[in-house]
Amino acid sequence: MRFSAIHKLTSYLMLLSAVVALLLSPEMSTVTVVLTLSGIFLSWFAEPSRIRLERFTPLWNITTVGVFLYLITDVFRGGSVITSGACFLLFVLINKLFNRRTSKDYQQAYVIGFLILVVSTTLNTNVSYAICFALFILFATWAMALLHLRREMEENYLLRHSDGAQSEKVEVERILNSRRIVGRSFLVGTSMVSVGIIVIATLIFTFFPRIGFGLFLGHRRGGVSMVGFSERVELGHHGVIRDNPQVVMRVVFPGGRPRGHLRWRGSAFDHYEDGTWSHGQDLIGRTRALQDVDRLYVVNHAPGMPIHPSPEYLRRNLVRQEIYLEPLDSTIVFGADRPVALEVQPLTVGGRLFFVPRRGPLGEIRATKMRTSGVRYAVYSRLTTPAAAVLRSSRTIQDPRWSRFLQLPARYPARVGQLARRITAGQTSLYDRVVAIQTYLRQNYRYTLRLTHDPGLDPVDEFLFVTRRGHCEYFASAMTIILRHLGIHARNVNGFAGGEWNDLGQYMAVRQGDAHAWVEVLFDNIGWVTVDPTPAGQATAATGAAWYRRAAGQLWDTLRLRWFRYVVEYDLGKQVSLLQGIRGVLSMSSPRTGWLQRHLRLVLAVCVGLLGLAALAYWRRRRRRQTPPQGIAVTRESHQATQLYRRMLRLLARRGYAKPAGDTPLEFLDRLARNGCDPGCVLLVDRLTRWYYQLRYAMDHEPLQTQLGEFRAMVGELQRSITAPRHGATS
Amino acid sequence: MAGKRRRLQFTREGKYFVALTLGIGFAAINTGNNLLYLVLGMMLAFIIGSGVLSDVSLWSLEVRRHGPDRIFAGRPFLMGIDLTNTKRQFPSFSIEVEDQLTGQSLDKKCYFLKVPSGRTQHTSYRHTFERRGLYRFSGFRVSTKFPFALFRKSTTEPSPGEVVVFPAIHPLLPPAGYCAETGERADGRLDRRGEFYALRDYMDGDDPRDIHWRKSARLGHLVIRQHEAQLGRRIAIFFDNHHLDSSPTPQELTREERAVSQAASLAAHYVRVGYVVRLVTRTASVGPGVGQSHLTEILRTLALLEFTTEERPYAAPARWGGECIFVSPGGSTAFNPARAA
Repeated sequence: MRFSAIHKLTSYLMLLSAVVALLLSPEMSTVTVVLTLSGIFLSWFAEPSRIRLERFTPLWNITTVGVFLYLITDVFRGGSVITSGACFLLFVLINKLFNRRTSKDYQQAYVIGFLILVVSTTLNTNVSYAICFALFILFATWAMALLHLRREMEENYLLRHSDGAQSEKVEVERILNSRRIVGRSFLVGTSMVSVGIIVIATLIFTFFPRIGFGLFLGHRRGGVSMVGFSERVELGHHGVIRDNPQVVMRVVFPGGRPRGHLRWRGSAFDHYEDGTWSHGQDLIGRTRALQDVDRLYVVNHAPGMPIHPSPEYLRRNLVRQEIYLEPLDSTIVFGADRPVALEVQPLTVGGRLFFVPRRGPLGEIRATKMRTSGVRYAVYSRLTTPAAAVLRSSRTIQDPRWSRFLQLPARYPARVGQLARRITAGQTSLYDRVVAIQTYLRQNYRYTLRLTHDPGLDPVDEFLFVTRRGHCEYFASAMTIILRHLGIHARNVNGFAGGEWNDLGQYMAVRQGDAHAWVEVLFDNIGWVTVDPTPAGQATAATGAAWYRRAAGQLWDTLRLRWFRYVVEYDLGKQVSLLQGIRGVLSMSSPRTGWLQRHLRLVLAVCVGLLGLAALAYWRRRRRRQTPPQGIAVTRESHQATQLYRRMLRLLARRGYAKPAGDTPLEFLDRLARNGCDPGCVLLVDRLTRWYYQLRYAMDHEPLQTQLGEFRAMVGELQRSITAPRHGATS
Repeated sequence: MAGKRRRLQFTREGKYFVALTLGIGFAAINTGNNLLYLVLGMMLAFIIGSGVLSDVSLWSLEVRRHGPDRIFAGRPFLMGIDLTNTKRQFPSFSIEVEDQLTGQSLDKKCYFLKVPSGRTQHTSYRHTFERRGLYRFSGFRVSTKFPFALFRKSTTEPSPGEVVVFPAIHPLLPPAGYCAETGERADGRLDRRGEFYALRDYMDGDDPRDIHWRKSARLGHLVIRQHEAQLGRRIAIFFDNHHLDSSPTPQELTREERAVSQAASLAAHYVRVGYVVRLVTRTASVGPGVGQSHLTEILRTLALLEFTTEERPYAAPARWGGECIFVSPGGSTAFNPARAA
């Protein structure tokens, strides 16, 4: 490939990797993306040799001013300064690419591309940035090295001058079109360099001291928009997010993946009116501070637990989940089932916590403010359900303090109450009535996400008597309403159910599409117990994707998690942990080095063996590559010169002038002259012999194709002109 | 060249790059944006990589110079530079070689875009020594800005050498004197026999046995050897290298140099026309001889000739059977050898 073509291609690849990093930002509009990519694509064809670029300079100037004014106006109208600045950079880059002529223009384009990459760090924090970043390093290594060579050629290259002539600059175009300057080996070699650069960059990134969060800006990510966890939830929104694959949290189970279907409790609601669940007026904003004991915050009481459980008891008897929660536009903190205790990590070593948990009035856990970065915390939950016999022994609660959980809308359709009594006719215990309602709903109503709603009807009433189908919100709401009609204390709970197990990362990924609603029923001897009326198998989002798509999705999610945890949200705490880990490995005191300590001799033997094999392979390779002292590497070009000379010999042999094997080319030439060959032919052979010597032995570089072409032409001339007698073979 | 001390200089682009790196570092610390730390790592890695690759480019390079057989003052000449890359694996890119005279660069850079491993590349630079004399080369400064032109890394390769710059030779007529009075014509004839004289291009009719094949292969066209005949004409050039003044003025120095140049021109002329030529000065002499090699010896003597303030007799007896020419800063004349005794 020609040098100029390789340089152009690598430059464009480098710039594209920076541009794509920016365009993948959610801040970039579709119009910007389309215009940018189109502009870059068209600029590829704008070569100075094809188009007189000077003619368009006034147009570019006017367009630049226009774009600048437009973006300034956009900023004054409330647009983001950074986004507008990024758009202007994109325009300037396209302008430069359309008007590139010399190496200086390429250099300026590289600077703009680099600035785009820097701006992208604030607009695109996804794992796609990592991919673009790695590609940028690879292509930049190529492009910058080639740019340097190009600049040197433009500045330095001189004709090989003769004694009398003045030195002159060679026409650079000829060299730029050369295919001999760089080739595959150059690109492969510089690729190795870029791997080294990536490694060094990673090391610098890892060990460059962090001083905690920045003075002016912290780690900021847009929060995942959550439906169903605000102060008010309107029935029907669940269907909107059912297919949303956005991961909300990732859960690791240090004690092993638990069996059964998990529910992740979010928020609960006690008040229902006109199709909307909300908190009672007296509960809004009422959260209670929690006291930590040995970094544990006890949030709720689980059946069978001591009143004041010790941290050791909690850690020993409950299921621990380590949760990495994405930044949300809600202050809710999730945990499995009904979380009993919470353990929050410090943000930095000796610094403040990720968040300070508070307990909501209905048992939910909240942070004091919304987060702009992911948080890590651990939750302890009891995942077992009390036995039916225990539940059956429970009685209806009469305490008026729980009356909020019997609230019903005023003037509610009577048929709901009638249905409730009909379903539970013959059931005496609280538990049996709950089970009867649950079974009735599961068996007589269909799950669907496609709903229509008559504004004149209450959604739950419509679900129970008109449509007879709906999603989990309707099932849960209907059950809660029915239970309240029977005087059973119940509340509606929103959260997530299930999740997708990621084999690669060994964690459970819970997505927006796993959002779910269920019911909590109050048993006087147990407390709040989870009841789910939604038909089984409908609780979680459908996972009918093919296995390879699932595997790709898991890989992508794992990468994303690692990216956010170890790059975007890398901090001093992680650095210290890393250094402590390294110190532990080096001093063999870390638990991870136990295996190493036990098998040290084996490991050493394997290492020595591998080194020995490597040394042997290297030695054998060196021996094989030693060329004989008199050997001259025959390349393709010099081989062509030999072939042309042999062709000349064949022509002469056909005319009766065969070269004896013992004659050198010069001796053969002498013989031709002495044996009466046509003088013109001798002269031609003389020239050809001199050319052969020059191409074969006298040059310190490979013969150029032009020189071989001239040689070939002379052989052709000989073929046309030779007229020797047919007898008299030389001897 | 491995193991030699390297010198590192920032290029203009390198200064901007380092300034930008510092700016990115400051922004990263200020904002706490980890992706900026990543960009900072990348820039620092590029700086490190640049240093390593430029080192690899400068490894195992050998430089040799080869100049023409004769260098004349005031006349440009080509000094050939051969750069050999003795590495087994890696080519060297973008190498600049600067010749150095007694530790100072000549400001003549030879540029090598690419030197493959195990290969030698040739180039040359044009230079003019304004004055005759002995010049000592100390070595080469070999530098590269490869791969990213952020820094120029250079090393000094000792390669001592000397060149003797001959006095300038001008075409001239020999002074009116003995030769003109006798009416004899100095006639240079060339012959196949005799000492090698020069190479010239082959013309139709030349004996192919005189073709210098090796040189022809190198030059790309046929050249033949020329020889000169021994003619028996003899001339002695007496050169007066005596300072009249112990502190000569610049004009006097110029006159002296012009005289040296005249003596050299005379010697060249007479050698070319086949004379047996000898050179006699107050401090040195060159015995009689013919041919180009003898001329070289004469020119070398004149190149290194120093003027003396001592009143010394000529280094060789004036009695001599051939013609004589006396050259001094004041002028030159031919004279009768009998009168010179």
